[in-house]
Amino acid sequence: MNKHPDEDNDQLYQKMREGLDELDELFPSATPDPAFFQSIVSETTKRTKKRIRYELLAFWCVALVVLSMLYFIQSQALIIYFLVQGLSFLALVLILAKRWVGNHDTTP
Amino acid sequence: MDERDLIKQAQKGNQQALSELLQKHYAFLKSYLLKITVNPYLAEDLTQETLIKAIEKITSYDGRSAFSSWLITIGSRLYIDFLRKKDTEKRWTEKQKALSKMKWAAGNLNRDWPEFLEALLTLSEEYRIPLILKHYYGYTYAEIADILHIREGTVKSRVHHASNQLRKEWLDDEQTSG
Repeated sequence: MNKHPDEDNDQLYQKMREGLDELDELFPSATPDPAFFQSIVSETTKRTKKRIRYELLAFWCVALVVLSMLYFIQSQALIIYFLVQGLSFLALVLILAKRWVGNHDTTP
Repeated sequence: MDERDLIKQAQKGNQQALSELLQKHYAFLKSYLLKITVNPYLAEDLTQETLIKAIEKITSYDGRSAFSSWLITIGSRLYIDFLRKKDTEKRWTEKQKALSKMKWAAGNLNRDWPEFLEALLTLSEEYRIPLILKHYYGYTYAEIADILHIREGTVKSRVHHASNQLRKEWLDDEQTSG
């Protein structure tokens, strides 16, 4: 008589669990000593803080360049200043509109 | 200190608490990565990467799932990213290399290599991981969907497909061996 499919699946999953448990026994996951964790936490935290400081510095530098350029254009060439402002606004509207259309597109 | 306190302290920047927390879950995480990769060498590397990611992102842990589930979510996604970066042929070669090393290691310990794992290895990772999460760890379909960042329906169909495929491989193996 054929076995019920559920019974067959139970056997299959049992076999899988046994196989994976054997794998665990062959390659046991021994936990390193506390010093390992303290060192990895300390190193990673240091690296992350350094990266954040660097990114913040890069952001301020770019912001400073953009602001000084805008200040220069505003004081030297007012037409170009308004042109840059207008084009930036137009680009923002276009990006938002494109994103809105993308979000409401229901075709697969 | 219980786990909730450790998490709170770790999120406030207490390095000692974070170390204790990671130490507590290390074996579970590594054992999980060993099961989904079936490769102890890769599991070791991924465990290390997961710990680093967890340290960087500890403040974003919101407690919606158990801390161990959060760790295996990170580990699973790192593994999936790792697979995406490798081409199929290279992945196959590495899998075969790891398999021979593991069989050799089992032989050295005078242990039989669990043949069933070869059937499990015929499944691609996108099917193997949900199957293990469901039928070894007992996660619900919704939890697996959350861990793997895919839809619940997709999880169900992958688990179903994986079970059928695994059964077929298993029966084929049994017929060949007996």
